[in-house]
Amino acid sequence: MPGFSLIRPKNKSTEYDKNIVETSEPEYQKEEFTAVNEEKNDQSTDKIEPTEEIVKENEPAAEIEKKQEDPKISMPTTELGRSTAEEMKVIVSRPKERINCENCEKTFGTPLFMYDYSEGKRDLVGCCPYCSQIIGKPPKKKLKETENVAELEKLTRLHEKAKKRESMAFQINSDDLDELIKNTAYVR
Amino acid sequence: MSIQIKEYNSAEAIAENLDKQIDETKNSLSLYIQKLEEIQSVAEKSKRIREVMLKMAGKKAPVETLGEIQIGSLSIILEANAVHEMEAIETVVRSKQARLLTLQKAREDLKWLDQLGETDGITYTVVENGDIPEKILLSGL
Repeated sequence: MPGFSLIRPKNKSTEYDKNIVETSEPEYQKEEFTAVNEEKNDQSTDKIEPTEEIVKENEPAAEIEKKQEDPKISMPTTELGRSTAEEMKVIVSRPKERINCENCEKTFGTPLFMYDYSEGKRDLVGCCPYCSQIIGKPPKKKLKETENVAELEKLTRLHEKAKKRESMAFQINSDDLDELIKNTAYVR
Repeated sequence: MSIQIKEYNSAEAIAENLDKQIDETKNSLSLYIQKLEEIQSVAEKSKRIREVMLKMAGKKAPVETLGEIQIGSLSIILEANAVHEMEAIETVVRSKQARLLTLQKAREDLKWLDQLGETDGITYTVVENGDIPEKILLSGL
């Protein structure tokens, strides 16, 4: 069979072993572990037991090529999940409750359902039809907006203050300066 | 739903078209839901008033079949009220909702096209069913 490696367990009797048994050799002689026997055993194992590598070499070339040519293209794992019809059944059969949006503070009975991929997977979520805020999620945008508004107010205040200072600043050209000097001299 | 064939120069163009469809569907769906919310409250109020009035008069609600006429596959409702309008909008909302989910799924399935990289010279012939891609024929490879 291609793709399978034939490895015979060591304890299993081989043809060679069978031959030994047939010669009705006594048990004690068989078990004697002499230098000669050791050599014999080694030879027998070399002859009979096929190694894994040898068997693999016998595999058909086409099979090996197939294994090598396995492409590593990352195709999308399409989530079969529920079909649109099934999702619609869930949407239609949901309990009809009034929902209050935390973001725009409007109440509605029918949310806008759509898939959300923000967490790396497809989730069916309900959204507010007025501001598209996902129901059950804390409104992040609003916080940011308020922060931005506060910052903008600060900046405008600073800007206005700077403008006021500029208008208060003593501005004088060279002619005026001469006149001023003259006047001051007269006063003295 | 009409089936049509469109040709695109890149995978991005298909994705852009789908994104546009998703946005349009989402916007119209939210508008229809807003309309439904308004009409629902009106319909419920009129229903309650009717029920109360019928209870007070000690009469049963009449079966409303006279107002609906069937001509072929078309049904015509005479003297349509808020309930009829609500039912009509509900049908549209359901249809738009299903379309939005289908479009989003189609967009998700198209994400693998981003891996193709530059595909100059390849034309994408797309079989679309109601603006939703069903089959893409790549030619010029």
